[in-house]
Amino acid sequence: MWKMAIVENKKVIGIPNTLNVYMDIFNWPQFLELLNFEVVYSPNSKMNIFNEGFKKASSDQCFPIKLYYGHVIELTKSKVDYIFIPQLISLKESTYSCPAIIGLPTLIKNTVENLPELIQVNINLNDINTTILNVFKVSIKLSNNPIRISAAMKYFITRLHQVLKNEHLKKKSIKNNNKKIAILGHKYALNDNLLNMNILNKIKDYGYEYVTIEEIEHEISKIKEIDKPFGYKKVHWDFGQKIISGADYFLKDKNISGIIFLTFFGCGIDAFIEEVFKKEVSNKKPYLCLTIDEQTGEAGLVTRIEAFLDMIKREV
Amino acid sequence: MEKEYCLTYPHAGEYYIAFEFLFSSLGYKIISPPKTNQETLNIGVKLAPSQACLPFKVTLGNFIQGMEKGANVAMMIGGRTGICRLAYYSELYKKIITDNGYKVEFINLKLKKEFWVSVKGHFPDLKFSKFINICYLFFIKMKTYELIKEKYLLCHPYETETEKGECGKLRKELMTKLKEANTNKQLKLLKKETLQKFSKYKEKKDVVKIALVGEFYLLIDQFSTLNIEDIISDMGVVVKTTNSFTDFFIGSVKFVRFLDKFIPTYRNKINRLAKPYIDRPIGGHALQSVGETVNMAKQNFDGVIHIYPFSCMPEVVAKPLVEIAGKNHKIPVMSLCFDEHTGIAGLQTRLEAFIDMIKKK
Repeated sequence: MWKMAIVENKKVIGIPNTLNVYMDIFNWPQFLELLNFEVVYSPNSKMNIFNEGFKKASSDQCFPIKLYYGHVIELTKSKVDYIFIPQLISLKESTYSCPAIIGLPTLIKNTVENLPELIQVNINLNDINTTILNVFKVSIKLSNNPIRISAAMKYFITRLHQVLKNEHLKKKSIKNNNKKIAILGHKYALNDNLLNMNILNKIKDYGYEYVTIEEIEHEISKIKEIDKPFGYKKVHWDFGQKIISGADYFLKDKNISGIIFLTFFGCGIDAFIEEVFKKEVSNKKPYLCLTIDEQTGEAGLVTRIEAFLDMIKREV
Repeated sequence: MEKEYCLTYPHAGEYYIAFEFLFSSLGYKIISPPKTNQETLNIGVKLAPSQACLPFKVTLGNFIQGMEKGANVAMMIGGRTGICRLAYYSELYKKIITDNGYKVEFINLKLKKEFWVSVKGHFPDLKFSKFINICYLFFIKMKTYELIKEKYLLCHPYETETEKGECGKLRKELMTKLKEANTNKQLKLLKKETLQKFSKYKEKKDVVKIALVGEFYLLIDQFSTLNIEDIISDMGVVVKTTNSFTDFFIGSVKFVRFLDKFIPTYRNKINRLAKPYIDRPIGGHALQSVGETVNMAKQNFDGVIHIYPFSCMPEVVAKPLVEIAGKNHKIPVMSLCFDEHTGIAGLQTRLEAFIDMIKKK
C-alpha cells in the first residue's frame, strides 16, 4: 500500500461569499478539501465590500452581481492562491440559469485586475456527461495526486446522483400551525442580509413568523409536477419554476396569511416570473413585491412593510 | 361557413412587406397594425411588466392594435428555446392579452415543422409544395429588402455634391417595387437593379465607417432606436448593421448551429473571434455582439456602437465585454441603452460627440 508520507503544502482557494454560494448544491468546499485545498470565504456582505464592487461593475447590472464583484475584489486583496467561480449554466434538466449567472466567470475574468488564478467549473445538467468531464478536468488541474482526484470525483458523482433525485433538498421542519408570512425570492435574496436589507429580521422584530421558499423546496418537489402552474407553460429557468411553484403552494396553504416577493431592480427574469402569478396571488391574499437596489432607502422599505403587515392584521 | 383567419403581426423595420406577402399567399386575411408609433408604445408600456424589455412592449402594442382592428390570429417571431426572455414571450403575450379580454391564436413563424403544422391546421387543402415555394419567395423578399437597406447605408455617405439626395429617392423607388415583386423572376430582376443602380457611388477615402452591434430586435427596428441608422447616415457616416432577420432565421436552425462548430462559416468565424471573451452562448445575441466588435475592428471600421434595450440580460453581460474587446483591438466603442424614455435630443448629442471624436483621430 503506497503511503503518503509527504508533507503537502496546502494551497488556498477563495469562494466569494454571496450570489452563487447560495446555489451550491454540490458542496464545493468538500470537493476542494478532498483535493487538499484550504477553502476560505470572503467576509459576510457589508456596504464597504459592495462599494468596491460597485466601482468595477457595469451600472446596468443588478445589485447581487455588483455585490459579487465586491467579494471577488475582497478575495483578491487577501492574496488567496486561487479563486473559485463555477459557471452554473443549468442546475436542473431542461432549464437554464439566468444569463448573468452564466456569464459571471467571464465578466470577472475580463474586468477585475490582479485576479488570482480563476478556477471555473462548468455545470450544465442538460448534459451530465460533459459536466462530469468538466469537473474531472478541474480536478486534474488542481491536483496531481491520483488518490485525491479519485476521492474527489467519487464524491462529486455521488453528490450528483443525489441531486438528480432531489435528495439534496431541505426537508421541512414541522414547527407549528401558526399563521405565517411566505417569502418568495432567489436564495441569495433570502440568505444575504445586505441584499435583502435585513427585511427578514425586521419582519421577525414586528412579531411575525415567516416561511421562505427554501423551507418548502422538498415539499414542492414531491408534489406531482404541475404542468401549467397558473395556466401557462413552465418558464425555462429552474429558480423561476421554483418561485412559481412556491407561489402556487403558498396560495393554497391556509396557514399563509400573506406573500412577499423579494426581487432586485434590473432582474428582468423576475419581472417575467412575477407576471405569471401576480394577478392571481394579489387577488386572493395580501401581496407585496419589494424591488431592491443599492439606492433603496430604509425608510421607504419600512413604510411598505408596515402597510403590508397592517393589511394582514385586517384580514385576520 | 369556413372560419376566416384574420392575421396580425408585430412590426420590425419594414419587414411587414415580407410578412404580408407570406401570410396573404398562404390564405390569411391580413390585418395590418398601424406602423409603430407613440400610441403603440404607450399601450405596450401600460400592459407589460415595467421591467420587460422594449422589444416586448413594442410588439405587444402592435398585437393589441391589430386585435382592435379585428385580428383573431397573431404571428409571433421565435419559438420556445433559448436562455433569454424571448423564449417565454409567447406565453406572456398570451397571458396579458387574455387578461385584457382579447382572444387570439398565436402562430410561431420559424424554420421548423411546427409552423407547417399550424398553417396546415388552418388551411387543410394547402399543398406542401406550394407552402415551400411561398416560404422560399418570402425569404428572398426579406433578403432583397435587406440588400436595399444595406446598399443605401453604404452609398448615401458617398454621394457627391451633385448627387445629394439621390440615394434616398432610389431607396424609396426600390422599396415601392419590392411591395409589388411577388415572383422569383421579379425579385431576381429587382436584386439586379438594386446592385446596378447603387454601383455608381464610388467609395471615398475619408468617410467614417461605423458598425452597429447588439440586441437583434433593435438592430432591425427603426422606431425602437429612434431611427439611429438614418441619423448616423445623414451625418455622412457609413453604417453597417451586424444582424438581420434572415440571419436570425437561419441561425435558429439546430442543424446550422451544429455545422457552425466544424465548418468555417461566417458564424463560426464570429464565435472564434468572441472566444477569448465569451466562449459559449449565454442567451440572446451577446456572443455575436462581442464577436462582431472584434470582426469589425479587424475589417478596419472606425467605431462600434453597441445598442441594447434596458434590462436586456444577455446584452448587459455583453456590454463590458464589448468595451474591453474594443480596447484590446483599438476601436472606439460606445454603448447605448434604449427604453421608452429615450429622447432624440440626447441621442443625437451622444452620436455627434462620438463621431466627432472619431473624425479627430
